[in-house]
Amino acid sequence: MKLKFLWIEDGAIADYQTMLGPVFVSGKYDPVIALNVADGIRQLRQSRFDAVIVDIRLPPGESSEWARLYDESRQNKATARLGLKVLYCLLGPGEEDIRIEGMPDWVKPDRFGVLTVENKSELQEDLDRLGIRVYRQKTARTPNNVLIDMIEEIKRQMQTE
Amino acid sequence: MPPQLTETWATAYLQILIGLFIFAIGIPAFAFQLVVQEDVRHVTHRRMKMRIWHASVVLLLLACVSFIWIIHPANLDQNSNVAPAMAPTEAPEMDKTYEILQAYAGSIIVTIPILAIMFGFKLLENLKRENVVQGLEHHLEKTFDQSGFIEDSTLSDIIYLGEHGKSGREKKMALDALGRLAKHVQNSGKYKGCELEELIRGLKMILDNGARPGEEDDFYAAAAILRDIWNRLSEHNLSSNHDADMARKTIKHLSIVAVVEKSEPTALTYLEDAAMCDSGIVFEIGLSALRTRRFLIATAALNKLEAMAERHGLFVDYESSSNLLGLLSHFMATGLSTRLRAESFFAQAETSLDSLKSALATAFIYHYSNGSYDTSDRVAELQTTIESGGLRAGPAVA
Repeated sequence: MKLKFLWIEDGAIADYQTMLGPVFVSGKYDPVIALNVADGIRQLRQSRFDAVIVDIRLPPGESSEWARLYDESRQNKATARLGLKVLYCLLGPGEEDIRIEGMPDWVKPDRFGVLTVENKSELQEDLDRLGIRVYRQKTARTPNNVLIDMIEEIKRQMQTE
Repeated sequence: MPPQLTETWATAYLQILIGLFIFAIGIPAFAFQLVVQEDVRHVTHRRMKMRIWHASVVLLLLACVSFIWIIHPANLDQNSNVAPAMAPTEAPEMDKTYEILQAYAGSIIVTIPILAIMFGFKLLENLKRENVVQGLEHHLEKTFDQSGFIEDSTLSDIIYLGEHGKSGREKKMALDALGRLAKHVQNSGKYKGCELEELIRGLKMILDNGARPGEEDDFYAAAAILRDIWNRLSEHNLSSNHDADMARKTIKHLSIVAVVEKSEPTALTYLEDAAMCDSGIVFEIGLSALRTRRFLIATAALNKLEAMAERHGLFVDYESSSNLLGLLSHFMATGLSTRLRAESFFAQAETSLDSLKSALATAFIYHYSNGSYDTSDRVAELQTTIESGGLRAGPAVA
């Protein structure tokens, strides 16, 4: 059975060849892509995933609440950091900007990973508070199998717990 | 008291009025021809023809009556057949009233063309493509709220503008309007699952127009609209309704166009949409990609089909299994690398050899009965390979 993972990343389609190519060729994973926050939350509600990879810079999608937060940051993905806000809403210790109702029980920090252009030092404090340990920085030199690496790390992490 | 017209006066009035109207209507009309694009003109003419005709006639009549009634100098110069405006200005007997009327006539002659030109420019502003599209969209939303159905003629106008608009910004205007309209309709309590047929068909017409096909961004925009429509249909449990069927057909059509003509990211976007709908479309995408040697797309489609088939329990669901085995059989026959990818599926498959053979027999019938002889032949070849032990690795569970 393939490992089903959700990748919430607005640039996922552009990274298809580089990052998802190895995923398809391996035949071991079933990727689902969400291009924005609203789509990501909808997918989390609809299906159970073995792993969830989240970008920090995300557009809001079809959601007035998330669009409001985005507008407050002058519609700038880098300053809005909606991905981080989503993680706080899903996993955070009572620091959510928006309350997300009806999240399933499997949504726990050990299933989540962060793949973003922000470097680790900028995010370390947040990742610690959220309990997320799987992190990779997206750079020009990021290996093509980064998604497979992250999913396998999340899988190992869950097996040890 | 009605004015007393002489032949000379009537001719003079007529000449002035005709001159005024040619100027007042001609300048904006010339600008209209020059500035407004042909497709916008076509829609505007179609929608505003009668209104403009009526307005012109009423305006002409009003102008005639006011000009003749107010300015006619019958009271001043009953015996003269010379127009006051043309009368010698040095005439010593010209009285105060005459001066006022002359000024009034002058002001009409100056202001009417100015007003007409201003009105013309205002009209041109309203005839900007974005304003026309927006106006049509608002009209459709309003009429849908009132009647519960989308007015076909107005919808056709938006689609026409999208079809004939330039790729990129102009097509996107129409696509965005259709996307917002679909959202408005589906979020309305009046939506029953069959109101968007023409709108969805319109997406195909806008993108797959031979003379002006959509570019990558247009295909992305349409994919997002179709995805949103599909998601809202699923939320309303209407995935087996009429609109769902039309969305499925449109995704299939545009997917194949995207695989053959567009970039990989665009084709893969449609693959994501197709995977939401049904395995048949994913199979078609995979096969088209394989035939056009776009192997990443083909592999992505195969991966999707594998996941879809596994979701129901491998080889349990007749349709998804048959589509998966159909594509796998093409992978087996295309080349060494594609064969390796196909064999990696069999090596990992958690199934018995017997159920694989049975599923292959079913897949043969499925593709044969659909008239896909090419695929059913490939499936038969795969059956032979498996029965002769020709796979490098058999199913994971023997």
